[in-house]
Amino acid sequence: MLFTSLRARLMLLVLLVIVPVLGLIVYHGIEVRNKGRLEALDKVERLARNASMLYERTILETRQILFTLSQMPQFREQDSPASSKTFADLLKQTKNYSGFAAVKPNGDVFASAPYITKPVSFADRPWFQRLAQTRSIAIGEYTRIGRISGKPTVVIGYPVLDRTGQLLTVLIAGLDLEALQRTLLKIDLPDEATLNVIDNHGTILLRFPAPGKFVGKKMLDKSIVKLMLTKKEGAEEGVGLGGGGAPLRVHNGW
Amino acid sequence: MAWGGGGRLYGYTTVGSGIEAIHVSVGIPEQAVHADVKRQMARNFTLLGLVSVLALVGAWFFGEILIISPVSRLIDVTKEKIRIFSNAVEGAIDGIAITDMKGIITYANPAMEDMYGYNKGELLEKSVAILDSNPERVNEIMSAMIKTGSWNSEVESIKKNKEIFPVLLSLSTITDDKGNPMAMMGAIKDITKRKQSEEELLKSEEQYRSLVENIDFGVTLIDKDFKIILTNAVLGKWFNKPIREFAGKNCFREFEKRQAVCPHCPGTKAMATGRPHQVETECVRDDGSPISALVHAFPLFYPDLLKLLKTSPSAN
Repeated sequence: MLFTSLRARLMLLVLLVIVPVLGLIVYHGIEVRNKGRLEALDKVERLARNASMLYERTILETRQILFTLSQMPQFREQDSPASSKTFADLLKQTKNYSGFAAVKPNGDVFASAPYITKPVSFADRPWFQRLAQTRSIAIGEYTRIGRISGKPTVVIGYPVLDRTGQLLTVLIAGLDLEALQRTLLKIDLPDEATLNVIDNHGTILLRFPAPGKFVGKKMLDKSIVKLMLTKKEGAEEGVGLGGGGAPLRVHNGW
Repeated sequence: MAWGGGGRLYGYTTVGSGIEAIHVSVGIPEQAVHADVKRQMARNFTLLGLVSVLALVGAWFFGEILIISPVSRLIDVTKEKIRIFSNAVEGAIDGIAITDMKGIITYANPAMEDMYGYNKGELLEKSVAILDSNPERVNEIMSAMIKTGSWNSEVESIKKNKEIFPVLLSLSTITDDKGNPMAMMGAIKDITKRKQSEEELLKSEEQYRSLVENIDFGVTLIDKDFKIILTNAVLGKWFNKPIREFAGKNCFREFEKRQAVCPHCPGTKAMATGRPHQVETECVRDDGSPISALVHAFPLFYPDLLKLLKTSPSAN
């Protein structure tokens, strides 16, 4: 027999004492792991909310800027030189914008910064059509080459109305996506973290890191994108945009 | 659930609504989340491994000093004691048997087996009742023994060949550490020869007594302190008194009415020389009348006979 000698039984006794300790270590490890996981999920959700708040603040600031501009007579009167000069001054003083433009109700640009000489129209843009219809602020889709700035941009259109509610002018601010990304990254992302901002069509607007690989691409086939579009808010375990299409595991109790 | 995981943990939220809504997500690799836990686990396992190795090494070396050696010594001493005890029991002349509390034999030494005519091991698992000539008595004996803790008596036993023989049986209980009886031990001595000797002696004594009583001499038996042990009827007749009145009294007072040992006492000389001695003397009855007598003294060298005669009813 293996444990017949006194010494062997003594060794067995020591091992029997060690086994529960081993079990405790494993149990504690699993507990800590699960707790760390829940905390991490809580943290990423909080970071996402912080990033979205920064984005909202940017939109709000843009709206305030456009509102202020809308009170200036040169934009109401479609004074092209004065408007362009105001835009040029403003562009120098701000960092979050790739350009500004003022557009007639038919979509033709009459002033802009950077200044353009050739005629440009936004009449074909869905966001412009929505704005013209609703007479309210509209956010455009991702544009890889902005018509004014030539840079990847997302535009925000603001309607300038007369006393009767007729559309006089549309003021446009083009968000500089690189600047916007820098703003959003103020949330102090942890090492190896990723930040994704997508529009409602599943197009990647911002991506950190490696924006060049993802920005502008529609990734509706990615499970995380599908989840973001359908569930709106939450925290999940999943596979990254570059990591294939493994199904997400949804965690209850959030 | 893979430890560390290959996926990412995502938090996501939506800004705005409708077609202009945008969605923000932050993801971190699960592996990074669990890196600290993995490090902690690795550290704990390493520590446990070290502690385990130390504990095993410690148990190996200190166990030798603190436990194994003392226990081994204790085992050796115990083995030696058991060996001595076993040899003593196995080699005992008397039969020794151990039974459980129901009287089932769990051990019988060779002497026991020989005494009862059984082969080696044949008595095991059998009831002690098969050894008693009166099996119904066994329960009574066991009850009495359990009540008092021990029991001694001469009983009649029966051998395998149905021969009945007398034994001196000593029973006692074996108790556990708490004093509860857990077994019974019996020591059996075959007293067949002793019984035969006693019977022969009694027969011899009867013959002697018959001789003493019927002879036409006065006979008395005196111990070394000059106390009369017995006298025969003739002597009682000579001195006109019942012979029981002589017993225990000094011979010099009874026969010569002296206060001390007679100077011519033939008994003193017989005991001193170990040879018979005779004197002529004048004895005195209680009424003062004299009796002339030739007294022969014979020394006796058989103390058991004296003892037997002292205890024998016929000595009265």
